Amino acid sequence: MVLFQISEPGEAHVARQYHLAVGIDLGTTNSLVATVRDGRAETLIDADGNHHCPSVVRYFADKAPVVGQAAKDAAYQDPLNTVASAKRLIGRGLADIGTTANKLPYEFAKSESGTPLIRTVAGDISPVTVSADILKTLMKQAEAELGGELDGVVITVPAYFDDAQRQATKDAARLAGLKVLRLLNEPTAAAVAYGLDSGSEGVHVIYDFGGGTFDVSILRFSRGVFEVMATAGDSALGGDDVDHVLAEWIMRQAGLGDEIEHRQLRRVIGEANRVKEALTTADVAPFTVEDSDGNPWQGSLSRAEFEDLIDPLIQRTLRPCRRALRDAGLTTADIQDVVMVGGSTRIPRVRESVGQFFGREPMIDIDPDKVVAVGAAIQADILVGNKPGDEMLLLDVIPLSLGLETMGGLVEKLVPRNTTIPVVRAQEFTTFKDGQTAMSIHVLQGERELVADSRSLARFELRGIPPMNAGAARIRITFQVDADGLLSVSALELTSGVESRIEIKPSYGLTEGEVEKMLSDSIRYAEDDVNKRRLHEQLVDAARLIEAVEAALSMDGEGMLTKQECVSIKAALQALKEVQQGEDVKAIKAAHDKLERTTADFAARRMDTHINEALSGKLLDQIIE
Amino acid sequence: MESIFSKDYFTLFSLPVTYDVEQEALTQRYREMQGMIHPDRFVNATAKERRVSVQMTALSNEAYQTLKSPLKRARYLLQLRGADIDDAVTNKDIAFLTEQIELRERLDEVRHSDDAESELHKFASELQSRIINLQQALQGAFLDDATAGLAKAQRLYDEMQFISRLNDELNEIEDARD
Repeated sequence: MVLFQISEPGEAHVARQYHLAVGIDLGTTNSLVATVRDGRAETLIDADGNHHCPSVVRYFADKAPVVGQAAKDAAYQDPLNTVASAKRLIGRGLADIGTTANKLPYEFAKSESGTPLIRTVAGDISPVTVSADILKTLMKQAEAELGGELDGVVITVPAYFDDAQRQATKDAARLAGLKVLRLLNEPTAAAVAYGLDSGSEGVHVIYDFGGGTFDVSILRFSRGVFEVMATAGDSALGGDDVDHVLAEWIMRQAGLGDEIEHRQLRRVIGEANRVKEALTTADVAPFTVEDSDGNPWQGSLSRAEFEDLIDPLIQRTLRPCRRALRDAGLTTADIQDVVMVGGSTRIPRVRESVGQFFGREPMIDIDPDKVVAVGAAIQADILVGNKPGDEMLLLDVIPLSLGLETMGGLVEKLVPRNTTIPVVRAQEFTTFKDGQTAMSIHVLQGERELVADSRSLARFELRGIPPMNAGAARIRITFQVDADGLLSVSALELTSGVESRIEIKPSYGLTEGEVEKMLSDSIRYAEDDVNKRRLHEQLVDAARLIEAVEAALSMDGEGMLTKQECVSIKAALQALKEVQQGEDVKAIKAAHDKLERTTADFAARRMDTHINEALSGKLLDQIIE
Repeated sequence: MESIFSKDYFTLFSLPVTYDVEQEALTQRYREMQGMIHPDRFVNATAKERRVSVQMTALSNEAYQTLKSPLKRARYLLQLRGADIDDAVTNKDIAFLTEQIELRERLDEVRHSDDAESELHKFASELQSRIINLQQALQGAFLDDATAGLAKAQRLYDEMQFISRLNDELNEIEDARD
């Protein structure tokens, strides 16, 4: 209902409840939660006064998992049950992470749908569960700090995350029991925090080199609108890779081979990480590891050697920068400033190389670790409805092209990368055999021409096509990408009206059954039970709908509804209000869905009418001027 | 009142139906419209309103991208004027056919050359200025309402489409090098 408050500012001052909303930066290495309080966005601290929660979870056979610093501290003692960097695995198949998996100190199992599972004493754990456990911890931290239940969250994801990775992140939020207002791209979140803070209009580059992912986004900021012009990146390149390169170098120096144990590998990686951080300021960093006989082995690494080792990784970040500029149709001369985000931008060599590439000093005066969470909090505050009339708007893009498999194993692109979302695109296909009654539809993501080189998102079948000659059927396939960057696909045979619609559940994603099972598993150690939580979710949804429908009725009920329509809507509304008093989850859901259905036409009519009015109002204003 | 889903893209943004679109006005109207219909404004609305918002925003994105791009705008305007775009009537201009072959050969040279960075950029900027010239020619052609004007606009559009495709392929070559 926000729309009408904008067009009629006089009515915007109705006393409204303040909603609790937070932004969560779910990082590879560290996670943060932030909120807007008294008009200021700030990160929240945990009971020990820390802003950062290490994205590490330790699992036990007989008790609830431990999240954060305590888990990180235990990583050396209990490497197999302590999961770090789950973000590098989320939404990916075992095949995708083959090379990464060898370097990760876990034992993997494979789920039915091909997603990697981590073998722990608590059973086989999905990266989605690990992320959910981190989110739950942050949620509790925020609720303790803010003194109430959260009404909604904005969770950030790397801009370059594909559909499967986004969907998996949303699944994790659902497991954690969070209402996701929006998935927001990390560089866009950083731009919001930076842009609103600096107030500088123009074209900005956000260079976001984090613990496990790299993104670059080019945005135009003008009068409250953040418009992403292009984004590019590498969703498997980050500070972790710097650590691995250093760890491999240290192992070569110390004469350690690949047969090294998990525990020892963890230590070497930990030492590599320490050396990396020391070299931010020092010219030489000493280190100690155990050699193959268990004796201490000492060595040191100079800044110059370090830079030689990591230059290839830095070069890998500059290629996406070139591509983003090209896609935006810009050159480095068009860029007003380059904003550095993510812990890996603390490395002096990274700053130097990025500065050279763009021909200007990068901006490092913002805290590269907090800026994403702060931007997410600002967006959450607006989306949840705490700032009616705020004109800020984010126009984001899809990072990777979406397409379909066609004859010969080729990909036909329906939505090219860097298209502004939401987007709806349709294309018609036909049958290639006489009497063909089914058509297999294979949805792909990526820039390559061959199906074999692309990310397979989903396969489904359109059945029941009436038998016709080859080429006579007309099958329209529609892709819809929403504001979270999530895809849904529908197929319709136009001559007969046979329809097949699916929400994309990525090939490597979780099935509905798996999500349900994880949901009940995750509640095993929690105080609340499944039913209580479902009831709570339904009540929240019911309250929201009642509020929306009552507002709509009082504004447009008389003008837009026939008497009969009005009677049915009021009856459905009353029915929901009645069951809302009880605790029957099914009855509340049924009454909720009934009211949604009954008001659907009314809602569509209102949208069209009000937007038409608002648009012609704007035009009138311009003529008068 | 007419639904916004049935309006043509120009009327949607309250702009005159002409090739010569005032880009600043277009961007301003687009942003105003996004401010009203974007899904971010309907997070707490009913499921139906959220769906309509996604569809309206997608429509407005499509309309904006179409009117912003010189090529897509030409195609859209030709369609509005009843031209059959997908009709495979090829350009019969012999001079242009010869030139197409030459340009293709040049693209192949760039593709297979080892050190073609500067050659690639030179070619790209030539194509760019070509597109700008075609844009001006199209402006004139669309002003002519007669059949002759439409035929000329279609010919210019074909040419622009060819040049744009070359430009896309050039970008792909550059992508592959990175």
